[in-house]
Order: sequence, then structure tokens, then C-alpha cells
Amino acid sequence: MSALLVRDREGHRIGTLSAGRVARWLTIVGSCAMVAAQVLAVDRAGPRWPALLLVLLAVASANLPDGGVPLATIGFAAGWWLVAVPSPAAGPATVVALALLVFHVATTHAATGPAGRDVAGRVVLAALGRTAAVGLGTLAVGLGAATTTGRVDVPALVLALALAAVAALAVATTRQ
Amino acid sequence: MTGWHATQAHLRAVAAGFGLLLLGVVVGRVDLVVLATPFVLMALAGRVSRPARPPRLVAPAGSLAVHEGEEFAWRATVDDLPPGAVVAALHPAQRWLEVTPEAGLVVAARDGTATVDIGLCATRWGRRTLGAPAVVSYDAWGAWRWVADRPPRIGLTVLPTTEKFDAGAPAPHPQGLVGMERAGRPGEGTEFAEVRPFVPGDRLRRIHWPTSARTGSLHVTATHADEDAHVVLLVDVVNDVGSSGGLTGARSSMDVTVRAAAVLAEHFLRRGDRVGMRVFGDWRVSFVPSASGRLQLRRILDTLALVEPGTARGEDALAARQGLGAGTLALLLSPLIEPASTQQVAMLTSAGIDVVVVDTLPAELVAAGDTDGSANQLLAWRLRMLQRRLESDRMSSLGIPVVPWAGPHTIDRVLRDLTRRAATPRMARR
Repeated sequence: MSALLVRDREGHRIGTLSAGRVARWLTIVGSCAMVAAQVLAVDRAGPRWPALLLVLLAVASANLPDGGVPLATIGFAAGWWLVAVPSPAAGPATVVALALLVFHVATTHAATGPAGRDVAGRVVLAALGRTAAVGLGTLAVGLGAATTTGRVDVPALVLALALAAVAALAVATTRQ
Repeated sequence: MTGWHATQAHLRAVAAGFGLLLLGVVVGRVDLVVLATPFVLMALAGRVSRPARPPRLVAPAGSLAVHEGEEFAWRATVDDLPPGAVVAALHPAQRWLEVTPEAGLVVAARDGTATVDIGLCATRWGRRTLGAPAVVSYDAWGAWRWVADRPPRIGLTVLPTTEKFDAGAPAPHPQGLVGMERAGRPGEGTEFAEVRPFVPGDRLRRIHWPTSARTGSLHVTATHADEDAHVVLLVDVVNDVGSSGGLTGARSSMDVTVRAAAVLAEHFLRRGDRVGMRVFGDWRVSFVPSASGRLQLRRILDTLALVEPGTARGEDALAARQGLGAGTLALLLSPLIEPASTQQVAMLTSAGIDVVVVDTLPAELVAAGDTDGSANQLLAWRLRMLQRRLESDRMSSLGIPVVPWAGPHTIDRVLRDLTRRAATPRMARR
């Protein structure tokens, strides 16, 4: 994949502009813009600055994908959602979840290797396939949640078991 | 220890996924559970795909010799990768080295093996050590990262380019046994000398039948003998004027000197001549004894690649005469900045050695000098250039040819003049 190298007067490379890099940047920022648009569509009377802040965080994530900024972006988006969307049934949670999935995968991909590098087509196709699989799982959970919201009463024991399962899974996935 | 470490992406998936899931369960918001779902799935997938053993990097080591502008590759193989893994590699930028792709590359593994090919091209002669590339592997989900130990550095010898040089002019004093130079004496050769009467011992196939028929007595075609010449390259590396931009960029005086020496050495060696070299101004290399053949060319190119200008000064001017005798063709390649080079030329000429001075100061530097210098520096440079012109004119008036290097054919005319002059008697101090 060809790239445009930006150099200073002495010939040192100061930046790389490639189609792949632009696509990654647009995907990262675009997915957050999608989240902002969905939240603003639900909370029409709410403030606009969180949307601007979210996009700024997305821009920072696109430039620093291998750090804590993407996590802060996801946390901010989820917190804004929690505050701005009054009830579970009021907003398109599945769309936002898919947008956050795209954001996560794009930042993961951007953090794989140096910025501006050439990426083989097979690598991109494999990443798209895995994202689609996770997206389908998310879609299934989202549809299930949409159909059961307000119809099923979850007992306290099930809640406690769910919490324990979540904690166990978290420990299992982070153990080195 | 497998050497695989969790990436920020995996930690992010775990933190965001389980954090949102926990929050959703606690506050009773199913939409937060939906938001958490992709992260939880990614975290679980990352956990499941965690590689069990470290990969193995096989990278080239040792040393390599290439010519300027010659492309070569740094190829490494990473084995024992998990399914779907990718390998990222980046070769560090280095002066006078073109790296393709410059910004690194990411390749997918096939059957647990990934091969990384990075194209390299050295743009200036010399000996240097290549930087060690960074090689990193990721599992299929980008959740685990393995950073390879820096592969061994490769010692690189960049030989100066040997531009095609096809001067037709002969060397002025061929004295050897075999070669392609036309000797002054008659003998078995290829170049026509005269048609003369037949004498006992002449070969019958040499008989020139038209003349024999016309004159009524046998005549034969006589030829000049073919011999080899003794050529010595005197390389002045006391100063390196200007900055080098590699093969396609700006030229310094050392660039011109070294490349011209390589071209001349290849030319005369290809003709079967004996070629030696003496380097002035470098403490490491000074002398390559005269010999012929392709191995001698490699020896000379290796020596030229080692040259570090200005590391030795104040050498005895007599050193230039060691090993040279009358009949030797000495080619002095010099930017003529150091007055000592002029003394050497005078000494060699007075000993009856044919000297051709090849001026290797790039024309653009003669005109402009170092344009970044102060006014005083520019003035000093102009004064030195005036002195240099005087010295050059003085050498020319003494019959010592001074020719600026302008690529192949530079010394063609000079060699023809020297060959003609060699036939005339002259005085020489022994």
C-alpha cells in the first residue's frame, strides 16, 4: 500500500499519510461521532459539549491508540449514555454498542505496529471477519434485551450469581 | 513465562466490558449490559486465544558486501505463531540507507510462520553496521503481544559503484608480459604496425599477399606486441570537502575521489593491467600492492570502502614514490586542497613517472563552497580556490595534465597525449 511520507528539509521523516491510516482515523473518529449522534438523538434537550468532548477524545485516541485514551473515551461515552438516556428502552443501545465495537477494533488495529506502516490485505480481512463475529453476538444480545425489557423480573439470587460470574470471568481473563 | 504480554487493547476490553457489565447489573440497566457485550466477547476471545509458547525469530546475521545503489533485503522468519497471528516489523532509519517500506509493515502468519521482507539500499560507500529492526508479534485478537529480542546487527560493506568506463586510449608505458595495451616494440599482437619484408621465423599466415604479388618478394603484416601496464592510483583522502547526499544526492570530494578510483581500477584491471593503490590521509589503509585480476579489484574496492578521510596528516611526500618506477602510470585523485599533494606530483614527475592529476573537487563546490559559512569563511574559501587554480596552472605549464573528473572518458585524451609523448626522449632524475 503506497504512502505519502512527509519530511523536513533535512529529509527526516516527520509523518506518513497513507490510505490505510486515513481510513483508520476516519473509522475511529466516525464511530464516536455515531455514538454522539445517537445520544443526542435521544437527549435532544441535553447539552452539546459532551458530544464535542467525545469527538476530541476520539481524535486523541486515533493519534494515541496504544495507551489509556481509548479506554477513557469508552468510559466517557458509556457515562454520557447512562446520564443522558433515561431508561433502557429509550435508546438504540445495540447501535451504540456496535459503534463502540468498531471504535475498539479500529484502535486495536491502529496500535498493531508502527504508525503509517504497510498492512497486508489478509490482516485487514481477518480483522473484519472477527469483528463481524463479535458484532453478530452483540446484535443477538441486543435483540434479546430489547424483547425482554420490561417483561422479565430477575430475582435477586440470579443477580448475585451474575455478579459472581462477571467477577470470575474478569479475573480469569486478566490472569497472566 | 511465554513472553506474551497483554496489550492495552485487551486490558481495555476487560476493563470496559466487565466494568459496564457490573454497573449494568448493579443499577439494573440492561442497555449497559448490551454496551458491555462486545467488550466482554473480545476479552473472552482474547483470553481463549492466549498463546502457550513463545515464537522463534530467525534473522540474518554476519556481514554483507554490496555495491552502492544495489538493493538487498533484510528477511526474518517468525515461527511457532498462534493461528491468525500477525507480525509487525520496523527497520530503523539510517543515514545513507533507504528502507522500503520506511514506516514498517504488518504481515499475517500462514501456518504459524510469518516472513518479513524489508528492502534496503545503501546509497554511499563505506563500512557500517545496520541498525537492528524491531519485530513484534500479536495474536489474532490483538490481545497479546510478543516483542522479539533485537536481532543481531549486520556488518555492511558498501563498495563504491563501478560505473562503466570504456576508454580506448592505451596506457603510455606497457612493460609487462601479457595484457591488452599496445607495446612500443613489434611482436605478436593485434594492432597493426607495418607491412615489411619477410624474414626467417615469420609465420606464413602473416604473409601479406597483395604486397607480395605487387613487389615480387614476400612481405608480412607486422603488429605491435600486447603487454600490460603498471598503473598506480594515488588517492588523496586528507580532506573531505562538502557534504554527501548519497548516490543520487549532493557529492562531496571524497565521493568523487572514491568512485573515480573504483571506476579507474576496474577499467585497467579489466584490460589485464597491474593496478596498485596508495591512500594518503587515512591511518588505517595506505597501500594495496599492484596485482591484476578480479580479486585485485575486490581488494581495491574493499580498501576504498574503509577510507576515513582526514585521519592521518603530515605524511612524507616521498611515500608516494615507494614501489613506483619509471614507466608506471600514476593517477593522482585529489581535490587539490592540500598543498602536499602538489609536492607529491612534483616529486613523481621528476622521477620520470607519468602522473595524471584527476581533480575530484566537485564543480559546484569550486563555485559556491560551503554556503552556510560566515563571510570570513567564504572569503577564505575563495582565496584557497584562487591559490588552487594557480597551483593547477603551474602543474599544467610543467606538462603535468590536470583534468577534472567528469565520469568515464575523463582521462582518455590525456592518456593518448602521454602515449605520444612517451615516444619522445626526455630527461629524468633517477
